[in-house]
Amino acid sequence: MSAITATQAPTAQDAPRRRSRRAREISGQAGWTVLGWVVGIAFFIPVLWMVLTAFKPESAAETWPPQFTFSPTLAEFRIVFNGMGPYIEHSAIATVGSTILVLVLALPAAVHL
Amino acid sequence: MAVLEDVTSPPATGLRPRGVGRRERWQRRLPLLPALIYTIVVTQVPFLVTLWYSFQSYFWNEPGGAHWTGISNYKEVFTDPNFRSALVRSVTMTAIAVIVAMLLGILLAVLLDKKFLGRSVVRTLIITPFLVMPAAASLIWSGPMLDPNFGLLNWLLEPFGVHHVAWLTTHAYGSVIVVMIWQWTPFMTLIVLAGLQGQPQDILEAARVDGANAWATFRELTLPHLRPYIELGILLGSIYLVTAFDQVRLMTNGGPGTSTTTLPFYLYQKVNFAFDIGGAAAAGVVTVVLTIIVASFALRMFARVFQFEEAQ
Repeated sequence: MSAITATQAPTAQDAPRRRSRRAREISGQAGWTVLGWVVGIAFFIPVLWMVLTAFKPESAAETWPPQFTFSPTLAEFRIVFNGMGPYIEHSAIATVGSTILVLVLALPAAVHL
Repeated sequence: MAVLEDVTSPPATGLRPRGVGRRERWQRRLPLLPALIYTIVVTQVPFLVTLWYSFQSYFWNEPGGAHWTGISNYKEVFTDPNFRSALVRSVTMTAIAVIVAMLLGILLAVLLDKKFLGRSVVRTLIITPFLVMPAAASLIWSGPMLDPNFGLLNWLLEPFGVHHVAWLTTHAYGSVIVVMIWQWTPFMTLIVLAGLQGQPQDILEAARVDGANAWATFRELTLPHLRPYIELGILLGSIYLVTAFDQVRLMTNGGPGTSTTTLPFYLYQKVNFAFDIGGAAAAGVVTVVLTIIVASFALRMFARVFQFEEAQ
């Protein structure tokens, strides 16, 4: 009853209009919330799917239709952590080494500039 | 080198008084020397070597080693339709990916600029793709997402009448671009969002008081304000995406045929499969010259963006 008649009735104008604006604000915020979450999840899906797949047993990893319920396993992580030492080491050496080198070269130059 | 000087010389000349002695000038230069020497050693020396090889006929799979051939490598580069198509493909791929990522980035930034429930969580969700390594992102997409038999995308699209599309074979070019866009939209969003949040609120308030609607305010006030940020995002995105190799190598391997062979991948093929060091060097030199032309324009824009920041 309120919204339509309020805009048509010039006498009782003020209060209902304020209320409808408030309602519009709240519904607007709800709209932004829904839109925001839909977009956010859409962007996140590939990463989410990677994380889910990481916990799947091999037999559930590639199926049609894709499986969303499965008994999670840490077996794949165990395999990864057992063989990952050298790769982490190489990445660390490359990252730390290049950062130090860049700092050594850039600090004097930056102080000067 | 000329490009580097362009950017660094104005403040340097501003700082340096006219009549300083030779000794003092060297004292000022000295701290810069390590960085300068290092830069020359790792960028200019390899370039000179590349230049040298580009005039040689040098095939790794032929006996006899390198010998001088003049400009025949360059002639070959300019007449090779594969080089030309790779160049065009690199440019169009980068342009499409950067422009779409920027448009999406502006939309997402406007969305994230609104107050809503769980905004900070959504912001994190949206930024995540940028934090994934390009190689890992390519593998996520080429395997679990786009696989014709088990891919999640086909499953999501099945209600809309899409049945087991082999994305990487039938839409290879588009697939690679989609992954690039997926990775770079968050970056564009962050830059544009920084611009949006740096916008003075009183101007927007004034526009509202004057009766401007949301779209007019956005077009007439917000967009001009965002312009330097958009330029910066486009510039940085182009620099990174034009050299993108991971996506092409891991998702489509340049194919089917040559339909996703970009310039970096073309050079890689020329060295690793054709063993044509001279030809690859010539193609590399041509690429560098073209890049310098584009980059000098881009850097001028870059300098203007920073001047704009200082003026504010």
